Amino acid sequence: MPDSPAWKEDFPIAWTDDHFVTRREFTKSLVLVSCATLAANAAVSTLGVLQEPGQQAFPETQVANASTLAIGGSRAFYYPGPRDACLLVRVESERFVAYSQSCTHLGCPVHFQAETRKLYCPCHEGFFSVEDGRVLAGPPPRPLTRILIEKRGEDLWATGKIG
Amino acid sequence: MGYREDRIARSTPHMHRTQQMASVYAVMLCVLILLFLQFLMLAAALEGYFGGRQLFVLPTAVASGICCALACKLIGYVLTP
Repeated sequence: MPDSPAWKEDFPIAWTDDHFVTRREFTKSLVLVSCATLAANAAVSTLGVLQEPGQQAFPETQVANASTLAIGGSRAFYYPGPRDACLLVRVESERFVAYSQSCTHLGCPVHFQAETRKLYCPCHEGFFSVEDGRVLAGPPPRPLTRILIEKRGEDLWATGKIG
Repeated sequence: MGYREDRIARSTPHMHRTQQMASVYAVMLCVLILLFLQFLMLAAALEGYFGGRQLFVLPTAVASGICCALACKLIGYVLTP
């Protein structure tokens, strides 16, 4: 007669050594992570839908006085929110342009180079045209967001943004 | 019952257990692949959101939902006794 009973051949693994439950629990936790990822994605989508450009109304804000800005000069301002840094450039005597200062590559602040008449992102050598904000060189995928500027007397007002 | 039949009869539960293990591993692998796809979708959604490309955001959520539904369906096979 054998030492161990016959049923042990059918159940050779002790309950404490059985890892089936652990594998299933692991797979179950993966599905929970999947649900959490879906929730995060849905939250980002909801925020994205709520902040569609067409649905936003922009305030009118005075950003500078034309007489204080020399031709070829630039000035930083915030529009439309207090954390949205923008850059105002006097291209010609009666021509003012403004762009969001956030580079469309990774969000570094862009600067105006008067000698080359380009907007320059020092992080990854991105260059934008000061005329219309289009990408001239470097990794940025899109043009800069343009701020609409209106001259009322000697005051310069930001009235909206495009892009 | 002869020796061979006896071995086959005794090995049947063990075979079933091996098959179960294979199915659990297969489901785990599929769920991992789906989860990887969902992370890609989330990365694309965040890139679209912060980059101002809202057009990409909603389709990634739909794709992520499909992946999650598939993962839930697959886990049903493992958890059902």
